[in-house]
Amino acid sequence: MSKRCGNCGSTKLKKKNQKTKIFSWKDYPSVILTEDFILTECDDCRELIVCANEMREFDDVLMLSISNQVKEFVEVILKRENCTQAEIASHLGITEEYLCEIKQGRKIPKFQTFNFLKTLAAHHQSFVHSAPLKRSA
Amino acid sequence: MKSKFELSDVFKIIDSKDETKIYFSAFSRSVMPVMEVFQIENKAITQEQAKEYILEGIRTLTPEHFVRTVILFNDSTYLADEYGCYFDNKPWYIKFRIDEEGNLEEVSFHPPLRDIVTSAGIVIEARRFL
Repeated sequence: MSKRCGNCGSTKLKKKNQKTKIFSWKDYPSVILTEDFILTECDDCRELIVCANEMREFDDVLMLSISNQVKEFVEVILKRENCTQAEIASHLGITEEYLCEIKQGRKIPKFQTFNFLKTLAAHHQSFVHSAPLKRSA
Repeated sequence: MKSKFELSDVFKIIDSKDETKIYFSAFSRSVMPVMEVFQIENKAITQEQAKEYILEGIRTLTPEHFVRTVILFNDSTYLADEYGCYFDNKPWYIKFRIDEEGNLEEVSFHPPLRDIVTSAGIVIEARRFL
């Protein structure tokens, strides 16, 4: 007997690329998969059938997707605002070193930081309004 | 009432550490709900951690946690065992089977949608926040 979908019972299971699909991961409600990743999917209900040995790679691909987006957001802001990474870090309330680490994929930021970065990348006005206050002497 | 699949056989598969022999046939009914429960508790976990948690949870089952054997998808040859338990101080509804090739098919692992009474009379209360 062939494997079935545990959700609908269908035997129409196919290996499909999950790239561009959205998954929740840790505190991220939705991560867009930016990399190729093949998983078994039910052709009838779209349920995923995942083998235990695929789980770690699934995590890795999701982390890579987050890193890719962080890098893209930072580059968009640097280009549009003609600013430095240190300035972006100050807008986000994080250190420049930490920004470098998340940009290079060495660390995964909390969703809050990621989301703020995304907002800064999307709107010039967000960047203007989030400028840290300059302390007077 | 006796379960269709022996827990000792299920434990053997888990303990073998051969991950090719374990699969989650409905990701949205097992791995995802576990991640959601942890997210609600502000302890977000990865999919690998959810998988480990599920297998650890199954490993704690005893015959007292057995609820019943059910026919899936109106196919009398496709049977699975249902269990209810408290694991990690959380209530869980668990359903699995061993397929014809000796693989562990984990069908469900999520908070119970309604109260469960196991064959030994243990009541597992529903958790309705999901």
